[in-house]
Amino acid sequence: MARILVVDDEVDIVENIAALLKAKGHQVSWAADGAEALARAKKERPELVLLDVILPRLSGFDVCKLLRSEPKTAKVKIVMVTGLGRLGDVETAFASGADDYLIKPFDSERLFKKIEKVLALP
Amino acid sequence: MAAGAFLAGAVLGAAAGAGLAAWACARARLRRGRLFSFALHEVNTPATAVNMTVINLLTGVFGEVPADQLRWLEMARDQLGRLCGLTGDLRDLTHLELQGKLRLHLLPADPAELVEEALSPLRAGFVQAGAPLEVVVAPGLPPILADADRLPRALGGLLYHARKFRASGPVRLSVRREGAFVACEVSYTGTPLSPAQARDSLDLYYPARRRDDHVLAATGLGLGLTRTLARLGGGDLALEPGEKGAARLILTVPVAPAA
Repeated sequence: MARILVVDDEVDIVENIAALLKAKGHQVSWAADGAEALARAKKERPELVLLDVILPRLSGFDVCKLLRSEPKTAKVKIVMVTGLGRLGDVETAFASGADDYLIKPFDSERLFKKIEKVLALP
Repeated sequence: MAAGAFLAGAVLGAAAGAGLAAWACARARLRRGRLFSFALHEVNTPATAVNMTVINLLTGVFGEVPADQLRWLEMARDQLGRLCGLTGDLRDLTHLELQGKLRLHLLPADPAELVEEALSPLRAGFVQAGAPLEVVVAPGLPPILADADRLPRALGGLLYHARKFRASGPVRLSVRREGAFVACEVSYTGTPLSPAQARDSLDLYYPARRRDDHVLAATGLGLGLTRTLARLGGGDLALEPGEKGAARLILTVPVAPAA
């Protein structure tokens, strides 16, 4: 089971994701904005970050780039969560260093599949 | 000479005016697009939260739910599935209408997995509606080139459509290989359709027809959007009316090129 950092400013979404992942045996922590996400990732060294695109203070794309540029967090698996509000969000996510993406609205099955797939990446 | 200069000035002025108008028009279009993007983001967030809460309740993540209440949760999940599908359709339509384009993310995918993803939120709703659902997926299908977000949504939309407009008998889903494509065929028996009515219902703007002009209503944002997305992905959608109200919706998706 993995250490997963969920980054989202919507507490209702985070609580649901956390409950679901904990029920599957994962260890979950939460950050509500981009700056907090960076601090937690450096401190907690998660194996996977579930990272929303639209965040207060620092966008998910910026957080992703900064995680990749920091030696301590450069190899963390990152799944970006996007509502695809803008054309090109997926391309920007990959260009920022994301391993994969998840499109809102999503359900638990899709979330699990994505997490399993990304955690299995070399 | 003076008249020539006046004429040249007028032409230049008109060109500058037209350029300014085009710029203002493009700017207004961009702002409309951004506003719609913002609105879609605002809709996506509660849709995701509520969908996950209902699924967590249904799957026992928050503890056991009394058996007599499961039916209502299943009903909520079915309707939330429709709402989430609509949100995705609306997002795609917004990009198509305001930006004139849409980017699909086409990758090799297992068709059986994507079909299961489409079916999973729908099964209970078919049972509750008393509509038998028969599914046959041919074994050993090759990987298809598909957008893993949009294909289950498109197929789910076709199944909702069949469930809504079915008059009798089961809704059947058959998935099989047809040459360079994998065909997902949804068949049902509903109100008899003429070939012209079937053709019209695949038009992108069909749901925008006057209400009293409707021959066959549409579910969601209509079959036309599904066909548009299918074509963007290299496939297609056909609606073939048969005898006595029989109808077949055939969504074709290209087989992925060999690696």
